[in-house]
Amino acid sequence: MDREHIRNFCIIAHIDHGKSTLADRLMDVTGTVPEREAKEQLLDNMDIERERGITIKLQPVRMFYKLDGEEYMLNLIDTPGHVDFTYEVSRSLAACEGAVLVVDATQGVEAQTLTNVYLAIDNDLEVIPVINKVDLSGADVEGTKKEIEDIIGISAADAPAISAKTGLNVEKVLESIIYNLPAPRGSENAPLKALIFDSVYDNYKGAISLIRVIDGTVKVGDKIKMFSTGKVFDVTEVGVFTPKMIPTESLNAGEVGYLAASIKNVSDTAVGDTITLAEGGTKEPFPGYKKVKPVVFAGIFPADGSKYTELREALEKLKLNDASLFFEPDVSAALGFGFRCGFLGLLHMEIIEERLEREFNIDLVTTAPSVSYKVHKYGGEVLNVDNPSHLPSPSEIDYMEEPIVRACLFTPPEYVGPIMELCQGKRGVFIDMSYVDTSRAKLIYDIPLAEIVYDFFDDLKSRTRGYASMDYEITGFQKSELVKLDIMLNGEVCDALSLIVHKDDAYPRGRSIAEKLKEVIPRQMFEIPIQATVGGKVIARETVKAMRKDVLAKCYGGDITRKKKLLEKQKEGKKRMRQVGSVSLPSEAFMSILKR
Amino acid sequence: MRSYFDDFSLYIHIPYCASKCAYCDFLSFSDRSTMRAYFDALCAEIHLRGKEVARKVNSIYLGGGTPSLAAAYFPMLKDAIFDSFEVEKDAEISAEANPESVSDAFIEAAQAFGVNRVSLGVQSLSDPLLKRIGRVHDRKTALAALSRLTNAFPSVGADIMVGLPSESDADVRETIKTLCDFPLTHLSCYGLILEKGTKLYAEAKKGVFTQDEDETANRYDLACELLANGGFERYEISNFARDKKVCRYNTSVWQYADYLGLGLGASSFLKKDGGFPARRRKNTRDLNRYIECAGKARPTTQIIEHEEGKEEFLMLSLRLTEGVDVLTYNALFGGNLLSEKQEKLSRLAPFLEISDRKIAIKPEYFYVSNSIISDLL
Repeated sequence: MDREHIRNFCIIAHIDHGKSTLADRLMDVTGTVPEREAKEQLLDNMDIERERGITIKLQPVRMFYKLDGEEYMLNLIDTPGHVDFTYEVSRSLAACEGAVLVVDATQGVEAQTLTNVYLAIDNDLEVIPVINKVDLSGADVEGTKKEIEDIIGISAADAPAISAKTGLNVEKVLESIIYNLPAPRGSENAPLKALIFDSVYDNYKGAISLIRVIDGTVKVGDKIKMFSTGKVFDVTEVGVFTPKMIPTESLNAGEVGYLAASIKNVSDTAVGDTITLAEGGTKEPFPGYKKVKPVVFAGIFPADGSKYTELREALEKLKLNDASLFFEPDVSAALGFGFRCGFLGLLHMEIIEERLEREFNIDLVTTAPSVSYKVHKYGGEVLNVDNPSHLPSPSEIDYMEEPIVRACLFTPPEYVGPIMELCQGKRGVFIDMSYVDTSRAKLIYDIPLAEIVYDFFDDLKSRTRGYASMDYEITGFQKSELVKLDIMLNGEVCDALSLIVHKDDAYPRGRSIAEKLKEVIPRQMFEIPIQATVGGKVIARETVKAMRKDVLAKCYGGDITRKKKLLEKQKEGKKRMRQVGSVSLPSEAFMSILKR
Repeated sequence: MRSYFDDFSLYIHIPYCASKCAYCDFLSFSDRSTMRAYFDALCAEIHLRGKEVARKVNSIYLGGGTPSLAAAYFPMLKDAIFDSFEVEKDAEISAEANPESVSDAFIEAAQAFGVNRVSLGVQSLSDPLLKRIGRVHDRKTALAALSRLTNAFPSVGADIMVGLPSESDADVRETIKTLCDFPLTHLSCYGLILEKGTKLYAEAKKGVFTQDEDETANRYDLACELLANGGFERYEISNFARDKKVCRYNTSVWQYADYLGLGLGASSFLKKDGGFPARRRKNTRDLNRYIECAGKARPTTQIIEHEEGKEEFLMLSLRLTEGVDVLTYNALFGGNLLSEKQEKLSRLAPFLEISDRKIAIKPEYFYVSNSIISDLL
């Protein structure tokens, strides 16, 4: 199809504003998926995504629509809607010429809407606003349009007022896409230049690149080169998504599709990288490629130590499809063998945890999430430390730096006070505040990432009864007075519970962990002192008293079978225990501490 | 302590009580209309089993329920037992009794039976506590029963409980001191266990009272101290004896000797030619069925193999202050306990008394015996 009849677009929206529902409806209207095959929110194909109503993986789909007697090819590239995946979103956006911005008429513009719109504008996308959920009684179409104009600064006068749920005015969205979004530029005759915006792993075809062809053509048999690594592959298949993968002869400039080239490793099809021909390829890659770096780290251990191999295999399988998941073997005195994992953010971490537990049926003990600190040692050496137990001794450390984010919060005005209090309490630095209208304020704070990773979201939610929304981006590193907080059980450090914290937080955190541990550690055969220490100094102390209940049991001839069962149960329970020195801890105790 | 490992005992279950106590989950009934039929069935079972097991009986234990309520049936019970089994001349014959039914008739019947040891369910000498736990006797009745029993039998013991709802240290102190003034040979002191299905369990669930682990343990410590002062030696986790007059029947069970349980819901343990596979049998708990089948209802049988036997042996004998008799264990199982369990024993060493003949839990760690035992198995 000629480029004039192609439109590449994505949908951006805040969580729950109806992105996936609209995508489904667009497919209905264009007859892309036969009715009987359509599942609710077809694009989100992972259980967890469906349950949480969020999209993580990008699933492009090609649709056809006739307008004014001409047929258009519409490529929808779905985008993840979470801050953890900002880079992936930006690459998906870069593969499009335009974006449909969905705003819930009952909610208005939210923090995430804004982040994604700015990302789209940064990528030179044409943005078409759409007002959704107009069938609901609380819908305020005019107010929402005004917000879009006031906050985002784009015209919303012609924005279709739709209901993705009922299908009302959905065809107007298609019309608007065709009329208002530019056709792809680029040249079929120029050397091949294709942007990888995602990759998936297939057991038979290997790592498959999801691409947008910018210039030129790619077909089966071509020798291609990955720009960032220089690695060369032979193309074995190209095709499009309907949304099923359908092979085609070639993919031309302006088109969206997939490419398989017997690539063994998803890391060889890095998101944002440019594919070109091995010979006579383009000299300039598509701009914006970045190597993904994890920002949140945690140790993941099997609750049952014997499941280590299963955990490794599961992580390897997940890694096949998720180049942004990092892991390396780790060993903890308390938790045994496991893995130190790196994630793009907290949600990413939760998703991996859930998939390991659900799809691979492995119970996990996960250590508290940590960020990566820059540790400047005397003598100039700089270390990146994301595992508290790898922190050098305080005598070797000159100073430390921690990652800082710029956070943007949207809130009804009555919660401005509580949010400021929260940010202040989390070592936030106030940058700016403005009222976007009478019903909403926008706050900007610089906050250490470690605070966000700890419990910021929960706190924000409870202080604002869920009305505030927040987004953030990492802006740099900042010198900070950090200390290592250790927890000792019966005189032995439990490495899995060590944390790097700001020195002012050490005391309250140490005390709260010691108190919680006292509650969750079952009484044992001897008294267990719990101590929180910083640099060898005890800052909090609790004691688990020795257990003394067995004398209650009597044992007659007739009781023996019952007694035996009791002991067997006790023995079975001990198998799930972790040994910290002489202290037995149930995995559940770790989890309740680490999960907060 | 003597080894009763080679003993063979009879346990006779008499499942009738004046009324059900608030803590009791034993198999017992307060409706006594079936008593006559029950004893017929029981005697039929005794005759039947007597033909199967031809071993000399070293001890007999009449348990319940409240055996003292059934004194009228003692003559027929005695006949059935002595017709069917050869009973050693100086066999220990114990009967459980409750104060309200310690009558002349009971004492006479028990003496005629050959009972030489009576265990009285005192539980407490505090009237409010007795009432609280649903006992039908009061302090006065208990004291009178103790006087009569100690005059009539060579060995008399009392059962008491600690950890009762609304109990105080003073209650326990007074009860034990008073009991120590009697010429008792034996005392069992149990911590209250809230068993499912009992009245107290339901009350605890509803929050009518709470049981505090430490408070109960402290009170138990107090009881131990008072009993030691009164000349009682703790020979098992919850059993105390004066002048080494331990309960032979119970001790033999803890030492892994054989016993035959007769009557409703009674359990038996019988090794095969002194070894394995052993059998653990349990009679039906259905009273009507037991009576209808005239004692011939098929018991459920569990086979205990060699390895499981090891665990049971350890689990039971570690309840005794003297602990595991290593030589008996080695002879029975044909191994060497100390080397088999070397690693675990060294890990548990702080809690144990270990020699080449004995492995015992130090009495101060009886409070965590379950943990120690389950670690050792």
